[in-house]
Amino acid sequence: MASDDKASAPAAPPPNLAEALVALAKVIGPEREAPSGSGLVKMLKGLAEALLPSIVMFVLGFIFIQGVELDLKREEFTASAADKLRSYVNDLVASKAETPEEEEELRATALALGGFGGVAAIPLVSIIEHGGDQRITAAKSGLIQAGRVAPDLTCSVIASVVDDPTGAYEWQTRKAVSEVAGLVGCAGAEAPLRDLRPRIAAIDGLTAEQRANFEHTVDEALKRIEAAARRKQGWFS
Amino acid sequence: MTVPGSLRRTGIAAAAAALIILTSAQAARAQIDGCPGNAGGPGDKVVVGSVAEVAGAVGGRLSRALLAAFEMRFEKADSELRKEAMILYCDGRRVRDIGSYSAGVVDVLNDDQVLLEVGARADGTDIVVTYVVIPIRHYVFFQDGQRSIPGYHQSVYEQSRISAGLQDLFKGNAELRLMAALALALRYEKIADAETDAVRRVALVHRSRAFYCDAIGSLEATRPHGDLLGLEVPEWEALRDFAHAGAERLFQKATADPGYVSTLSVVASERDGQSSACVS
Repeated sequence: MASDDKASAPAAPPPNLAEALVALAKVIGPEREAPSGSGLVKMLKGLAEALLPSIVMFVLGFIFIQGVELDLKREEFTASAADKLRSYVNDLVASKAETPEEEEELRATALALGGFGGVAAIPLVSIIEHGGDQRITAAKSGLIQAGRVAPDLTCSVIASVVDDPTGAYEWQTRKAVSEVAGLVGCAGAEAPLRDLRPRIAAIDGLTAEQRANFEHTVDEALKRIEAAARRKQGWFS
Repeated sequence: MTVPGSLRRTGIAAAAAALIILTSAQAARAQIDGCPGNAGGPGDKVVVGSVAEVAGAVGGRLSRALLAAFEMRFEKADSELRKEAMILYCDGRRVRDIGSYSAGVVDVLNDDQVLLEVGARADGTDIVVTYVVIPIRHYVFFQDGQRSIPGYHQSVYEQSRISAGLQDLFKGNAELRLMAALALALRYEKIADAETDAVRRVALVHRSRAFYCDAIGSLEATRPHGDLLGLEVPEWEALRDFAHAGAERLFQKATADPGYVSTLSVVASERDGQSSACVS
């Protein structure tokens, strides 16, 4: 009867692989944890403690050396940039621009100088002041370039030339720089230009034609600056 | 605010560069490349570019002879070129290709009151004389956009005609007289337009018209003869039309001013029906 009961009871399902692995882990677990307090771990721990200060010093030293090298490289770059800037200025001053090729070279040099941004603005203004029809035209291109690269610093130089509180510049320089102010859209030059406009008539030594042309240049520059400001507002509104 | 060291250093270099320029600058502003130091001063100027290419080394004697060749009289304006403008021989300057006279360059030259730039170069057995009429190139070509009159004109001459020396190229040269008269006419017209004083304006209008009339008087002598010498026909026609239109425009300006009409000996109604605005 009993054997009949056994025979009639449903057969137990065979153990799956996951259950078998769990059972195995339980059996061997205590044996795996045993080495935690062993001499090997103690040795490794001691070694790490001994080396830690050296590792920290090494990392800190590496960072420090990298920083110094970066500074040195930056200084080298700045010195090289300063040398280049000086050589471009020399080329612009010395050039005679007698041939079309020399004219192109003059213009390329002025544009390269303008690529230095705000720091090139004062030398470029000085080249305009120095004079020479080809040189002035090239230096104006360079100043426009500088204004595109670094508008804030360049426009600050431009505004000071337009304003010219010490009367240091020739009227031709102020006229040329006023034109650049318009082409760059120097908002900072707007007030000096507005201030200059009625005072052009009082500048000594100008013929009526020169005065009219200067006034026309300032008017055009103001129009351009206003247009640039309107476009800027349009983007943000 | 602290300035980064690199920026400070480059800034110092920039200031040093500016100082180089200022210390190398001459006392007078050297406005016109290749010209003597007095070229930057006030007053209208005629710039004569180096003729070394056609004459070899140019000594003091030849340069004086060249400048002397620029003597010319303007009957209608009752004046002479020497009275109107400083003639400058610029040994370090050559008249360049038309592309070099860009709007920017011409603007600078016009500000510096250059009326005319003249230069000569050899072209095979001929000599080509280039005339750059700065006011025309500045106002008419660039500002007004009249492409038919570039203000850069070339006239071809036979080398064999220059028997007594290079100065004969310019002495009594009809094209040179035409260009100088047109340059002066337009210069006076622009000054008149900008003049606020009515009396001075009337005088300037009169002078401008007189120089247009002198230009008209030179037209016949400069007419191209179809022998490939002298000016190109379309250029000559453009200059002719420009001179006539200028004289007429100034005549209209003058007659629009009642105070000025009384100073004209002959007014429009008294003219014999011809197109000349120069009868006075």
